[in-house]
Amino acid sequence: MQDIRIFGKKINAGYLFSSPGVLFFMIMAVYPAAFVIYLAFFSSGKGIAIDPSFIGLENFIKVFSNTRFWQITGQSFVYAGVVMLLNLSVGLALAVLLNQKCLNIRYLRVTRTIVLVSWALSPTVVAVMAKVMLHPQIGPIAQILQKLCSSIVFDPLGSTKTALLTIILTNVYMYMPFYFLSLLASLQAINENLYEAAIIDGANGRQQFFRITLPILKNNLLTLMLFNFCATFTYMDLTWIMTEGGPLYSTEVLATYAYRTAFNSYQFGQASAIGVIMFLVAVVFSVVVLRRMNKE
Amino acid sequence: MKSKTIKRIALYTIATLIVAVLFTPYLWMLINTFRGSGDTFASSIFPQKFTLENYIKVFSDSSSMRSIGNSVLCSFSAALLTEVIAVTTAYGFSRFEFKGRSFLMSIFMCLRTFPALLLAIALFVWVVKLGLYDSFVPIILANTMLNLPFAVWNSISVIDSIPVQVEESGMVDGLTRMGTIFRISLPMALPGLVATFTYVFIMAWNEYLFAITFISSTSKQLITAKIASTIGQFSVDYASLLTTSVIASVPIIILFIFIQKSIISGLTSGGVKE
Repeated sequence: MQDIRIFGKKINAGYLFSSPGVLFFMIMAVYPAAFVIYLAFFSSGKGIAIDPSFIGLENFIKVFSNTRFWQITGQSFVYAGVVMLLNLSVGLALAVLLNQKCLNIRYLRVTRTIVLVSWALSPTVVAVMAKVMLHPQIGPIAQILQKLCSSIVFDPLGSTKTALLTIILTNVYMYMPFYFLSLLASLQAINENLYEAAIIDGANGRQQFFRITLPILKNNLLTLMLFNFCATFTYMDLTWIMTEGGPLYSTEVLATYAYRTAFNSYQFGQASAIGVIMFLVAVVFSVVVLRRMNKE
Repeated sequence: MKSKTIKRIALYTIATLIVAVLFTPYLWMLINTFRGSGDTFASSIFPQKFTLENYIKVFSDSSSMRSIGNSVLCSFSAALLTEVIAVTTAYGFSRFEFKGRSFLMSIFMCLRTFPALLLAIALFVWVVKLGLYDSFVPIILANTMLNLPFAVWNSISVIDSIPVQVEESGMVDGLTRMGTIFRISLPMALPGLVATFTYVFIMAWNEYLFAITFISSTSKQLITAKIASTIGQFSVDYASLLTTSVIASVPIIILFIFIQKSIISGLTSGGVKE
């Protein structure tokens, strides 16, 4: 029953079944990616009327000559890099904590579920929540600080020094649960006997973590790092709702820059050029990380 | 023995503290949806009196209700389309051995990082040319694309868990391949597939980028775009903004809690090397 006859030819039915997904992916992933690359090299000017003429690197040069380009690129790396480190370290710490066998299992079940709540929230809801919580007048934190000392001005999203950090922490609040859940699943898959043997050999908690847990999780952590960095590097939702790249471009990242170029100034060629740059960064990062993975 | 008790107390304290900190913002938002209209946010952290005013206001506001309706329609369609494509594709991957199978599967794994932003730029140009701008079609297609990789992987793990022998015995009893799929495999896979469907529904419901990119008229606005556009205004009615956020998120959270167990395998596969 492996084969199906079509026009008298034998075809493996697997191709037939998997074709809808493959076809959809060709139309909605391969073609868009190719189209964005095409736009980057062939489209100049504004609007969607693309006159196909090869303009070489003109769009890239325009992007690079933006006086803020390097600042924005730097902020993108800081944003994606710090978010990645925090998501994984906080996620792992929480996974280890909520995997302690000496804690009550029902307590663990409830707390794990509460941790997951923020993952089910929309970036819009999280952004609204963060904006209101951190609001300099109506926010609860500002109100508490005002009561303690009326001279304190608490406005983390309004200051160029703290805005990016605030968005980073909001991102971690929202997406850390996914990493927590992934790592928890991997922790639970580790053979208990390994730890028992280590305890017999006199290993303490820290040694168990660094000699057993981390090496086993290494590939898993690297995969998640890769996934998180690439996803955050091209991510704009939270930034766009919370600050729109402000104040004074201090939270602008390549993703919001590309979005602004495409949908506020309708320069799709330049926006695509930024897209290609982001894609190249993601590829380079992936190669670096994949090389560090253990080959089995 | 004593140090063990201390350790346990310390662990409980730390864990409870962390979880409380994570949940406080949402709880604060929830409590403040009951704030009355005369009770301004700047005057106190918690409402002085609890009323249902805001809920009545949001539920009787036709534009909010229409946005929720639009979101239901889009998310449901996207989840359905994703599910149909994913199940068919996953069945092919799970039940047949063919050339290029593992390559295609790994492509689907990598596609999880496909940036929504690139898809939005490319789609926008086509959508405007095809006259589909300001319609739900691009939103449904784009959400399907973003969630398909996960849905395929989760469906593979669901179908893999159904023993092949069950299907074989069905075919021995005279059912065709299609008959076995519809009479035996799909009913057995149903709980897992419902979970996948729900997850995609949640993701499409929460989606923001496409919702602001492909829709311009307020009558077609999705709920996420509506909430986000409210916070950008000059004088914000915070009480109803928070209430709308709660209405748009509480059902989703409950759905998520129900399905979280069934989607872990699909989400974490590939992370763990086989």
